[in-house]
Amino acid sequence: MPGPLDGIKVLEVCQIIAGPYCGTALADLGADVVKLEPPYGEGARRIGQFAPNESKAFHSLSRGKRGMVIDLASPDGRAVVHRLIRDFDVFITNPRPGVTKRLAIDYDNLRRHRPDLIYLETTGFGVAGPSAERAGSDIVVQAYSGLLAGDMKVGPDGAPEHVTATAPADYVAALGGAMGVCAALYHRNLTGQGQFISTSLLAAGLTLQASWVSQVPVSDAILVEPLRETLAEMRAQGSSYAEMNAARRDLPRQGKAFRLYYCGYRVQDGAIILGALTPRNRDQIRRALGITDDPTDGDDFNAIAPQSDSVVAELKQRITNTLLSGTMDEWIARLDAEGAPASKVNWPEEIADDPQVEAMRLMRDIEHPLTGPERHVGPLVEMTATPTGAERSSPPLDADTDEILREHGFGDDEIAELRASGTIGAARG
Amino acid sequence: MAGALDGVKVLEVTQIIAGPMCGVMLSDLGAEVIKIESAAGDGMRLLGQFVPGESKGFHVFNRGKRGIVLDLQQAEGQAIVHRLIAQMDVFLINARPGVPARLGVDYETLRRHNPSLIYLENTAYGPTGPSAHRAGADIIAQAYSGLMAGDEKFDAHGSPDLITATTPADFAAAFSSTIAVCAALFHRERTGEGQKIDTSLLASALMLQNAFSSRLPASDAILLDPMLEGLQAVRERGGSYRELIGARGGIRALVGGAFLLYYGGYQTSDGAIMLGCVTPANRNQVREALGVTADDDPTDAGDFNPLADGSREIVARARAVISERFRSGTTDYWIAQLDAVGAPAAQVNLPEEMIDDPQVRALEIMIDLEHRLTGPETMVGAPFTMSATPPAPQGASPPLDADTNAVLAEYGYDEDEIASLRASGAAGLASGG
Repeated sequence: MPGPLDGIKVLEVCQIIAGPYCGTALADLGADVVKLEPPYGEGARRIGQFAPNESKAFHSLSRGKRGMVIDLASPDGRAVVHRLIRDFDVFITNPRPGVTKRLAIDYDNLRRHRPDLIYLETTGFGVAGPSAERAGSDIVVQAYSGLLAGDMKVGPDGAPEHVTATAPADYVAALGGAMGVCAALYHRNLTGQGQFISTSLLAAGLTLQASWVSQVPVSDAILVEPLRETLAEMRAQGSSYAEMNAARRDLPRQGKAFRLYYCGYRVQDGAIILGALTPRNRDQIRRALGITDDPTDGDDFNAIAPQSDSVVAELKQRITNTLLSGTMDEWIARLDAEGAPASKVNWPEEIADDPQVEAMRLMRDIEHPLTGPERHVGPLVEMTATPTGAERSSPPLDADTDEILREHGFGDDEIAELRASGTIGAARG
Repeated sequence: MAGALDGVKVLEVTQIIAGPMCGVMLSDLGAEVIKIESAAGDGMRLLGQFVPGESKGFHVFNRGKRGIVLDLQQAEGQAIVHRLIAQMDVFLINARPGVPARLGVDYETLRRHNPSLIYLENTAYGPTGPSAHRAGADIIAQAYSGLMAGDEKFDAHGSPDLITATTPADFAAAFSSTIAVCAALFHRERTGEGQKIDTSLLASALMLQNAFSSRLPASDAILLDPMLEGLQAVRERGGSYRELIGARGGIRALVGGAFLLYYGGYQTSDGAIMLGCVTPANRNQVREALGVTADDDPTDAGDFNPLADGSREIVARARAVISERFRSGTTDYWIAQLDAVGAPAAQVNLPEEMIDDPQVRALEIMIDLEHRLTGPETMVGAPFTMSATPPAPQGASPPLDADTNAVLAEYGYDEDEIASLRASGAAGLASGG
């Protein structure tokens, strides 16, 4: 059975993560995605390069696509794109601001050749406003949006450290873009109308921390305003990043009791994580740990009162000591038996062979034409009627240029001529 | 202009973030979303409660919906869902495997009442496998998937610390759910066919780190296997989590140290700055702005080999030069210099400050809403714009039980029926409760 986007043709001019992963998500849903690269290939090919023009990042983020090389700096190259776009449903791009116009691949240019085109543009800071023209990458928007400060990490020399586990703004912008494209395809099916969709790393960053960024004055007066005031004072005094970070971590008293059962603890042979969200979860954990006199879920416990600090600190110490008396496997078994949310801490490099990951078929084996067998994180969702899939690897640079041009009506002579002039094809040497 | 999903009707039995946020995005896209809660309410109502049953988190993750209260433990309550579902397009649920069947809202049951239904189920570990029935939450998926270790953070006790900036697995699951629902609507439009969609926090967490969790033997032999050997050595001597993190970070620094020179944070004379260079062109822009010469930093020269002996020292020397330059000027000064050459850089803002940021204002991403109980609030809106079908907020989150009567009346229940459902507790809050 084909995927839900079977027959949909997507052309992408994308780089690094936010654009390319959107293309891969659409490919997993069954779309035919063609990646258009400049003669030197896109930047992700050279981040952790292990063979010329090939990197693990590129293989992960551009799997499932065919690849072609067209030099958009040349007018002939642009003419090729304008001819191709007539046969495409969707165009996705994530360039620096202003680049699409310069390369004549902006929405107004392309829709002239394909009026019902669905066009997605992803930028760092958005298409309007004082920062629209600024350069942006995931880490820059982590810093700008508050995500980085929200992760409260400080390097050894006191400088801020970013979220290293993932590129959160990039990935969420990729998913937001794919969502917009799918909704727009639905709309086009009903009305015949295409459209321009824009998203930004900044919008993604704000969405990821909507509970902190949003304002609910009645709630904020109690829970957020004191923190905002302290932070503003510290900024005025020129406090260091590490000091502000410490204050932010320490100030919101009401979260501390919650964090007793929503955090990591050391055990005899490593560490475990507790993830209790509800009073019921916390009771399950207390049963597993043999804690009978924790008042923090009682009606008369006031989390905001200063005297709550010592109660929480005493409990924290007790939980810490209790957990240190057993091993990881012992505690996970006891917590599982109570139905409490808990986990050991795995390493990203080790997870590919995990039995649960295996059982869910979350990783897929794919063969790359140049570099051989690979094991990739597969589709995000399973669908019964229109199964998602991940069969194709990332394209070697320039691998499918001729094939795609032929498919879209270019003759062999024409293709040879375009290659001779350097309009298409990888840079030589 | 109507939203892209104008006319689409969504019923959700969801809690906390992953399920509810999917409902918010479908609502922003124009769908009509009805949230079913038990009389106790979604657990999110109690996290950071500021008036009874209302929390900021609940307001954020449930705006744009109408809310009804049904008791799905009762057959009568389930029967209401079965009657409503006939007129719905989409059903969303995030619960432990087995719970939907117990509440009579599993796919097999609901499709009998609506064969073309699009049914989305989100779980922590997925519907099958050895961990399927284990309890989960975002933090659990962070730990299990490797995201948490990947963030390389530990607390004052040396215990692993979670990613606190956001709940990455929850959000990614919410987004991927929404994508799948939209794709399934597109498919149903072309064929008339509905379907079941499954996603999990685990799948989402793996996707977020796909370049780390993938296996690519040709690359791993050079770049990954030495790290795994280092980790194994620490494990074998019973090293602590802190030492394991140190080993992973140390090896990463060797492989990626030069990259991290221009992809990371520095202190300035009055605060801090982040650089976000991903290309040699970006790095040259920063070098130009800072006056860093090829002697100071040879890491982009053709003959620099990050794995060679002495490369650590070269990177450390370059870092010292860059650190010293940044400390000689203010954040504003350096941002202006870096903007002038087009390099990616930003000051480090705090999430609580973003609401007043001029760029955020210009993008009009924040939306002003009025909550029926707690008054005005300003929320983060849809993270994208659409020219033909602009996403638009549909109001604030529902107070518990606020729309039960109105929704039931709309779907054909008369006043007597509603009164008797309320009396039996199948619908609505117990009176006085």
